[in-house]
Amino acid sequence: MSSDIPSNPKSKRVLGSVSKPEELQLDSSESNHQISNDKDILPIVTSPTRVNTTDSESSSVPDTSATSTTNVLPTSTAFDNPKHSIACPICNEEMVNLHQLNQHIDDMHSNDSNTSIESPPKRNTIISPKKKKINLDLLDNNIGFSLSDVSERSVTPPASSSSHRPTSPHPNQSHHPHKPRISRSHWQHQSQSSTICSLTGCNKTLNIKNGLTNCRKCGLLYCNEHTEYKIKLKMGSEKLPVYDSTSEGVWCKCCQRCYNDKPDLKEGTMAWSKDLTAEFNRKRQTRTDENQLNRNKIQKRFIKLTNYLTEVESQEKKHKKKNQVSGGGAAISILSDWWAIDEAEKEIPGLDNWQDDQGISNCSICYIKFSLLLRKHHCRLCGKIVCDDPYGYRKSCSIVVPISKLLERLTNLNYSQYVKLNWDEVVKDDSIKFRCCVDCKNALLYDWKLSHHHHKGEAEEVEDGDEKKQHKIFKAYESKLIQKHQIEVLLNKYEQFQKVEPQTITDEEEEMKIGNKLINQLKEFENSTAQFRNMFFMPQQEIYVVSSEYQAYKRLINNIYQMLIIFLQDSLLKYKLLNESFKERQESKLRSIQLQKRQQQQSNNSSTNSTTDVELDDSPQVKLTKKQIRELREQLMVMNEQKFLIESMIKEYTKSRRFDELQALIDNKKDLENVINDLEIKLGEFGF
Amino acid sequence: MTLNLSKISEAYFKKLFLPKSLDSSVSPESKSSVLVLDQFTTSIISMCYTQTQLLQNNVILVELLDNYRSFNKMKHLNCIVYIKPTKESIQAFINELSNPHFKSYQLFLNNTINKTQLERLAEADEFEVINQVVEVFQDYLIINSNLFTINLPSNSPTPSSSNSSIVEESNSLISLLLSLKKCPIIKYEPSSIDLKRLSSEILYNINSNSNNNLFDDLNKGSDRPPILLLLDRKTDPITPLISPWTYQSMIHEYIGVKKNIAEVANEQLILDETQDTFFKESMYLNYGDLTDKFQNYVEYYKKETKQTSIENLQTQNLNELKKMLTKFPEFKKLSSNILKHLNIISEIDKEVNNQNMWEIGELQQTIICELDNHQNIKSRLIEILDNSKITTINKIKLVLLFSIRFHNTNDLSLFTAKLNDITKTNPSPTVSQNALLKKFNALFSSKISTTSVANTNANNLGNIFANKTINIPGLFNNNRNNRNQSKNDNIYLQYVPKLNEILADLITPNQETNSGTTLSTLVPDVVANQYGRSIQYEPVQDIIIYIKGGVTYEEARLIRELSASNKKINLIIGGDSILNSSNWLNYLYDLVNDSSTTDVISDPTEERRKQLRDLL
Repeated sequence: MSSDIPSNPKSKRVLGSVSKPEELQLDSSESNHQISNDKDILPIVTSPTRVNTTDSESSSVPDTSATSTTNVLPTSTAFDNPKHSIACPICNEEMVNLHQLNQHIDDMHSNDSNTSIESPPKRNTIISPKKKKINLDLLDNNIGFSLSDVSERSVTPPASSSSHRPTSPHPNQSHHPHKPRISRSHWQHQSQSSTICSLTGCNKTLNIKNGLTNCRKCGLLYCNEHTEYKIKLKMGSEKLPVYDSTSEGVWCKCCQRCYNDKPDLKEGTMAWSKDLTAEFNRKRQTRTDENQLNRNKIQKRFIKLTNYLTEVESQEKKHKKKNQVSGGGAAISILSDWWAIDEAEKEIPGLDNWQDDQGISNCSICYIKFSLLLRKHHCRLCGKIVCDDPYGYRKSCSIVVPISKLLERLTNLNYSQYVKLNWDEVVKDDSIKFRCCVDCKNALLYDWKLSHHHHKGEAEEVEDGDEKKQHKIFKAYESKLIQKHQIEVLLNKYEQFQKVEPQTITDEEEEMKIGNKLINQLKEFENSTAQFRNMFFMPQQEIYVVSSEYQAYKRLINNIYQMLIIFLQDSLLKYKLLNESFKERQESKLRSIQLQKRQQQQSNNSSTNSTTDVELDDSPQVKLTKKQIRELREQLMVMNEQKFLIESMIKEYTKSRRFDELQALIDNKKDLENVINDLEIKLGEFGF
Repeated sequence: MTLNLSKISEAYFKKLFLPKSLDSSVSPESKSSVLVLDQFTTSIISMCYTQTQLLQNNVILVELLDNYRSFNKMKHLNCIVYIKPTKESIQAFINELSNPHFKSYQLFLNNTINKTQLERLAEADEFEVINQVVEVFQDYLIINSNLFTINLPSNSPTPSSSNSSIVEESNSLISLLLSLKKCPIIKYEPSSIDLKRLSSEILYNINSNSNNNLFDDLNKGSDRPPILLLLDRKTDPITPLISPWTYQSMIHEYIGVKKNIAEVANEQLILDETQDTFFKESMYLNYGDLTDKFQNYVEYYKKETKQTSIENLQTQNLNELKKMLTKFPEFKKLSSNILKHLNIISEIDKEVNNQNMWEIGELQQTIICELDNHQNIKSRLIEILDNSKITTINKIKLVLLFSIRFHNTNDLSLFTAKLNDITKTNPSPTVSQNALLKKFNALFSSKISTTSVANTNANNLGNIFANKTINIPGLFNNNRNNRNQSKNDNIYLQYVPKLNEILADLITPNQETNSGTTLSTLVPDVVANQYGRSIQYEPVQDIIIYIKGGVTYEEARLIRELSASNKKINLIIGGDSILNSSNWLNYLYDLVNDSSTTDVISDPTEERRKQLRDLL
C-alpha cells in the first residue's frame, strides 16, 4: 500500500479523466447536478419506464455533455499538485490526504457502482473504486449505451461546477435485474460547516475519523458508532426506502434510530395468544343443533312410547279383570301380549334403528363384551343395543325407568288424551317401566336440567341452607365491591387533580371536596370491612377464625377478607401520598403569596409595616395576628388529620394483629395529642 | 428487546385476569372469579404472580381441577380455567362441564390444543357455559426475564430420555416459540442423539403446525430469522462443577432454589426479580460486590428509619413526621426484605467458610483455566486432598476438573488413593463416586474429541503434549482465555462457560476463532419461504438457547452480560432443569452406574449404534 501512495494521484487521474468517455460524462454530470431537484431524478430510479418520459423532456437541453467535459478539467489541474492539495476528481472537494479522498469517493460517489449497494465498499483499498467504475461501464454497456447517455443529459441542469452534494442515483442503475436499488436522493448533504451526528444526544462533530455516514433509511448523517447497524430495505412507493425483511430486501447500513424503529424491535416481546372462541362456538353450534335435533326425535318417541305403554297398561288391567273371571288361557295371552309389545316397541324408534342382535358383540356405550351373564338390551327410544348397568359400575349404560319418574319432570309434552286425562294416576303408577339408555335419558331431561340449573340460582337458593349462606357472603361481597369501585373512581379523580394543577379556585374547591369524599368513603369502607369480619369471623384466642357455620366457605371468606384489607391498605397509602403532595403544593402556594404580599407591603409603606412585623415577631403570644391564626389553624388541621390517620392505622394493625408496631403507633398518637393540645391552647379563643 | 420473558408473563396476566375493555360495563360482581388450575399450570401461575396480585384482580378463589367433584356450587362466580391441554386435564374439565359448578367459564390453554380435543369440548359444553377459549402459550416456567425451564413431568433427568418425554420437551419449546412469536431456524449439536431427535421433532411440529397457520407470519418484520440453539449438557460437563460466585448461582449452589423459592431455616423465601428490586439489582453480582451492595442497602435502611424513627419525632418538624407515617408500610416491606437477604447471605457465608470455598474456588479456577503450570497445580491439589477438613464432594470435584484438564492416569490413581484414605478424607467416596472418578474422563473426553473441540475447557490437544514442558495448545488456550475475559480480573470468575464460544461463533462467524463445534441446521419451510435457503450465513439477532440436561444460573448470567454488551443481540436461555453441582454429580453417578452395567469400553459406540437403530 505504502509504495502505491506516490503514484496514487495518477491512478486517480486515470480514474477521473482517462477512462471511457461515457465514464467522464457520468462523473461530470454528477458534479453538475448540484441543485438538481431530486424529483427529476427519482422517478427514473423507481421505474425504468419513466426514463423515456424524462428523455423527451430532456431533449430540450442538448449540449450539456459538452459543458460537462470542460468541467472536469480543473480537477486534473488539482492533481498536478498532489502535495499541496488533493481534490476529488468528481466533485472537486478538497481533501487532506489520499485516504480521505478514498473514503470520500467511497462515501459520496460509490453509488456509481452497483455492487456497493449490498456491501459497503471496502475501505483502505485504493483500487476498489476503480474496479467498480469499470463494472459500471460494463453494466452501462449492457443496459444500452444510448439510454444512459440520454438520460444523463436529462438530469443535468445547467449549473456551476463547485458542488459538494452527494451524488444522486443514476437512472440506468435502477435497472438492476432483481433488486431495485435503494435511493440515495433523500440523503442529508454534507454541508460546508461541521455537521454533527444526527442522533440526539450524540453531538459528535462528524469527520473522517468519527465517520460520516448516511443512514440508508432516513438519509441523515451519523457518526460511525451510530451507524453500525444493518437492516433490510427495499424501495417503497413513496420514493423512500422502506423496511422489508423478506428475501426481497437488501442489506443496508442504517442508524441506531432506524434500527430500533424496525417493526419487530419496536413491538418488542410480543406474547402471543390465539383466541379460539369463534372456532369453538362454531363447533359447539353444530353440536347443539345436532343435539337439539336428536332431542326432538327422542322426545317424540318418548311421547309415543308413553302413549302406547299407558294404553297397554290400561288394557292389561281390563284383561286382568277379565282373566280373573275366565281364569284359563291367561298364560298364553300374556305371552302373546309380550310379543306384541315387543313388535310395537320396535316401531317406536323405527325398525331401521332397531339394532339387530346379530353382529353386535359389545355395548354401544361402554364397549363391554356381552356374555351369558351380560345380556343384550335394546334401548326403547333409540333402538341401540346396550348393556344393563343399573348400579353404575360402568357408565350406567341403561336402566329400566318407571315412566312416572320421567313424566314428573316432563309435564308439558304433547301426550295423548288418555294420558292427559289420567295424568294423576299415571304419574303415581310406578309399574309402567321401559328400558332407556343413558344417552336418551340425558337427551330427554336436557331441557329440564337446563331450566333447573338456571332457576336454582333464584328459587331454590332461599330454601337451601348452604345456598343461603353463600348468598349472604356474596351479597356482602358485592356491596364491598361497589364501595371499592367508588373509591377507585374517586382516587383516580383525585390523582388527576394532582397531575394537572388546578388553576381556578373552584377547581381547588372541587379537589378539596373530592379529598373529603374520599376520606369519608375510606372510613366507610373500613367500617364495613369490620362489619364483614364480624359477620363471618369469630374471635378465638385473640385470633379471628371463620365462624363455624361458614366453615364450608372458609377459604373463600378468608380470601375476600384479605383482599379487602389489601385494598384498604393500598388505597389509604395512595391517598396519603396524594394528600401529602396536595398539602405541600398548597403550602408552597401560600408561602409564595405571603412572600408577594410582604414584598408588596414592604415596598409600599415599608416604615409602618416593618414596625408591626417586628412587633408581631417579638410578642406572638400576646396577641395573634390574623395571619398567625391562620397558620396555627392550619397546623392544627394537619395534626388532627395526622391523628386520624394514626388512629386508623392503629385499628388496622390491631385487626391484622401486628402488635409489635402497635405500641409505637400509640406513643405516636399520644405525642400528637400533646401537640394538638399545645396548639389549641395557643390558639385559645380563635380555635375551631 | 424482542426476547423478554417478564414481558410475556405480564401480558399473559392481563390476558387471563383483566376483564376485556368491552366488558367494563358489566356490573362489578360478575367480575369476581374462581381460578381453576391443573398441576402444570399451578406452578406456572405461582411462579409468575403473587396471591395479592390475583386478589387485587378479583380472583377470590383458586382451585385444582382435579378436585372438581368437591367444588362448592357457586353460581355467582365466573370461572377462569387455565390448564395444560393434556388428556387428563381435558377429561376432568369435560366432566366438570357436564355438571357445571359456576356461572360461566373462560378456558385458557397453555399450549396448542388439537382439533379433536376442541371438538370434544364443544360436544361436552351442553349448557353453553364456556364463553371464551384462548390459547396462551406458556408451557414453561419463567425463572428470570432471560431464563426459563421446561416443566417436565418427571423432573429427574434420566440418562436416556424416552420418546414421550422428547415429545413433551418439543411441545414445551414450541409453546415458548409461539409465545415469543418466533419461528426459528434450529441449530443443534449433531453429536447428541437426543438433540437430533428433539430437533427433528420440533421441525416436524413447526412444519405440520404451519398447516394450522400457527407459525405463519411470525417473523414478520424481523430481518433475520431467530435461532433456536439446542445444546447438550454433556458437551460442557464442566460448568456445573465449578463453584459459582455470583448471588443467584450461589443461592442455588449452597441453599438450593426450587421454583424461585429458597428454603432457609424452614422458612420459604421467594426470590423473584420482578417483585424484589434488591434481588433484581444484585442477582448477577459477584460475592464481594454483593456484600458491599447489601451493606449499602442496610445503611440506607438505617438512615431512612433513623431519620424518622419514633424517638426523633419530637425534634423533627411536622413534615418529617408526615413523611414517616406515609412511608411506614414501605419500611415494613423494606425491613422484611432486608431480613430475607440477610438470612440468605449469612447462610451462604456460613457454607462458604465451612467448606473452605475461597481456597477451593481459587484452585478450581486455576485448574480449569490453567493459570499455573501443571506441577504447581498438582501440588496444590495434593495439599487440598490431604486436608481432612475439606469435604469429599469438593475434593471429588477438584479431581474431576484436574482429570479433564490434564489427562494423566498416574496422577489420577494417586488422587483416588488419597481420596480413599480415611484419615484424610472422612466419608470416603462411595462406589459410584469412585466409578465416576475413573470414568469421567473417558465419558466426556470422547464426547468432546468427537466434536474436535479445541476450547478453554476440553484440553484434548493438551493431552498429546501433556508430558512436554511447553504446552503449546495450553498457551494458545490461555491466550484465548485472556482475550475472552479481559474484563474480568477477579480470580474467582476466570472460567467462562463453553457457551460463550459457541455463541461467539454463531454471532460473528470467523474462521480464526472457530471453536470447531459444528452445529447442524434445520430450516422450517416457513422460514425458508420467507428468507430463502441461504440464511445460515447472515448475522443473527435473536437466539433462544436450550440446554438439554440442565442449565446453570452462571450461564444465564453470561447471557445477560452478552446481551448487555451487544445491544443488537437478544438472548434467552433455558433448560429442562437448573443445575447446581450436586444435582449434576448425582446425574453423573447415575450415568456412570448405567454405563457400567453394559460394557464400558465399547459403550459409546455401542450406545450410538443402539440409538441409531432406535431412530431407524
